[in-house]
Amino acid sequence: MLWWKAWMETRWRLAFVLACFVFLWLEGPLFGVPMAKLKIVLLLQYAVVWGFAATMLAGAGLNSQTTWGMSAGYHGSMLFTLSLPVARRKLFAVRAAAGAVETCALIVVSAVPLVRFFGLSWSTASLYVAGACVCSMAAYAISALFACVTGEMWQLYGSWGALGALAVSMRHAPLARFNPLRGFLLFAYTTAVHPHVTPASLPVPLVREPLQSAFASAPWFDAWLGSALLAVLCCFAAVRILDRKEY
Amino acid sequence: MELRINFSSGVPIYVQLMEQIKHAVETGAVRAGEQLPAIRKVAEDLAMNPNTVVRAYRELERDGILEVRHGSGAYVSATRTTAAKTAALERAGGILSEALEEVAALGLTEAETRRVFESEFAQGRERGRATRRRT
Amino acid sequence: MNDLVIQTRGLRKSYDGTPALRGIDLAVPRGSICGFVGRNGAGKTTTLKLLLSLLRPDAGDIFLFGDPVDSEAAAVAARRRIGFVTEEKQLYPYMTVGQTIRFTRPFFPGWRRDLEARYLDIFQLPENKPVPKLSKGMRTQLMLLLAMARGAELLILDEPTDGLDPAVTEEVLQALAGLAAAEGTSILFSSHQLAEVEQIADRVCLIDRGQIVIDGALDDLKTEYRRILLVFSGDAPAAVASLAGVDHVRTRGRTASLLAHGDIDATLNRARELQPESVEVHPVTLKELFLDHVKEA
Repeated sequence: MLWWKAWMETRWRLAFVLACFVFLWLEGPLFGVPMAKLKIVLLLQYAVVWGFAATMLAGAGLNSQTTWGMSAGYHGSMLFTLSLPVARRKLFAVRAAAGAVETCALIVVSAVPLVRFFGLSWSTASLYVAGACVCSMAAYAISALFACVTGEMWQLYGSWGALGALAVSMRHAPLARFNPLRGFLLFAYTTAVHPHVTPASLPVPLVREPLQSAFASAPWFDAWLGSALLAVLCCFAAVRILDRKEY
Repeated sequence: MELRINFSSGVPIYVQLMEQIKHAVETGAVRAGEQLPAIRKVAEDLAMNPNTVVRAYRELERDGILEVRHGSGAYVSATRTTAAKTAALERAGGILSEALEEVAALGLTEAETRRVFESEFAQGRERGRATRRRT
Repeated sequence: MNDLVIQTRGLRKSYDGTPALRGIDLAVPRGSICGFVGRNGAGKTTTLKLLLSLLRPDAGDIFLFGDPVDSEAAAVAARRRIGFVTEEKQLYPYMTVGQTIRFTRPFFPGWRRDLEARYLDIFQLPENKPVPKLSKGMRTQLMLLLAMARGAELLILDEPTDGLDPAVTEEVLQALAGLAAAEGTSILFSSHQLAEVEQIADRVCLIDRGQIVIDGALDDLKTEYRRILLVFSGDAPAAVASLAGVDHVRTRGRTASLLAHGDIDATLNRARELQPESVEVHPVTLKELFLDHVKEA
């Protein structure tokens, strides 16, 4: 029944994020964005929404998640959950796994129109999509970690802040290779896809530099490795906190 | 059988329950051989502690007022003591009503009559205690 | 033979340096209904949470059903046999009554469908109503149903009748009494309603500022404590305050009110030596016991 509870907590969030993707695809026709610009804008937006989805769908299985995250503090039903004859680690494991599966499923499903749009072969695309899933787990784990220590509202604010810090840190070349956020910028990297779109031609100056370093090298196994490590680290920390924390 | 317990009284609840059941037996509200409600029902209806009901029933059994038959419940004992008590109560009612008629003929109010009665009652108690102390 | 369903030894707990519990020795015998009373902030909810391993004690031991609760595995095993009602009575806002029951059922192998049906009927809980739309009374009743239907041997209830109207309160107490009578369930419940404690509990435990000041059978307390009222011809003598066998003294001019404990006759004799004009002995209600024991410095 814990799986069902996780579903009940995430189903509307999932629907909301799917609606976001629908909106992204409607932008072109709605706002009349030229094709070349649309491609790169869409990719950036996809990156943001994937990161957003990962934080939204994450949970620690203790606090009951209800609204879109606007309630501060723990919901009263948390004590009921904790009084059930279930180990805390199991509560966490089921909820975290459920949300992780949903996040990856979301990435795969939302990537389908993107792959078609860019006319990529599925064998190439599947590698990038898998990579995006791995990288999303880093964002997911950060959010799940916050969920262990705070209520819904600060779980989101905190994890968005952490992602923002990750984004800013992409400016620093040495470790930028390992940055999970690179994994999200999946289709833009191969010049075979975008011969006419280079970082220099990007509309937003702020993202030019980080994207420059991000685009610098391929493949991005470094990014995937960095993501996996960060995700494992966060999970480890989450479990340690769960074992000790008093609610 | 109507049971009314004062849970805040200084009298232990099981004692109150015992008194009320005894009274019900004496006044004939429950007759000899009749089954008393199950402990669970009494506890639930009055929202009171079942252990207290158990204790009351057990003391009543010890006093010979109840008979507990395994498997079926508690029954009022058909003992001569109970019948004698009922008879005694009836007789006392008769004596007192005669006395009250005579006192009324003296022209006292109800309140005055009560005061005299309480005073005689209390003195009777003191006399009895003094007698017990001397013996 | 240890027939205590709950036992704690020297339980201590502090929050940020402020002590909440200063050595609690609780002993609740199996099959009893124990009322846990005390002022707000005295440590009731902290104790109940510690029993369920929602908090970890700074020191002391906890034994539930005779087994020590010293690991998460032991805590989980104990919780499978315990029904808990939280102080805030909050359940999942995205479930209906029926869904909440169906969610909770699989966690308890001893779940009793017959009790579930019985309490659904007695409490008249609408199965398809979402939990947030329930009144406080119905939420409490739902939590109680979840606690009672799981076939628990022990119920730990944090203020189960808080905020309920008299009719619902009586229904709740009747359900608890009925369960205790039929299944022999032990119950530990905290309450501010002393009248209810006197009604349904056979034991009472008073906690004040992190320590237990009274712990015993209600019937025994009624026989062990008496209020002695003395009236003197002049001002009450100072010796009244230091009489042996007296837990608490309140003097006002010529009258002195004593809470006597234990050998009442001996205390009465000592009081008579002070030559009061009149001596009255009265039984003590739980409310008086409570107020006298928590007012002391």
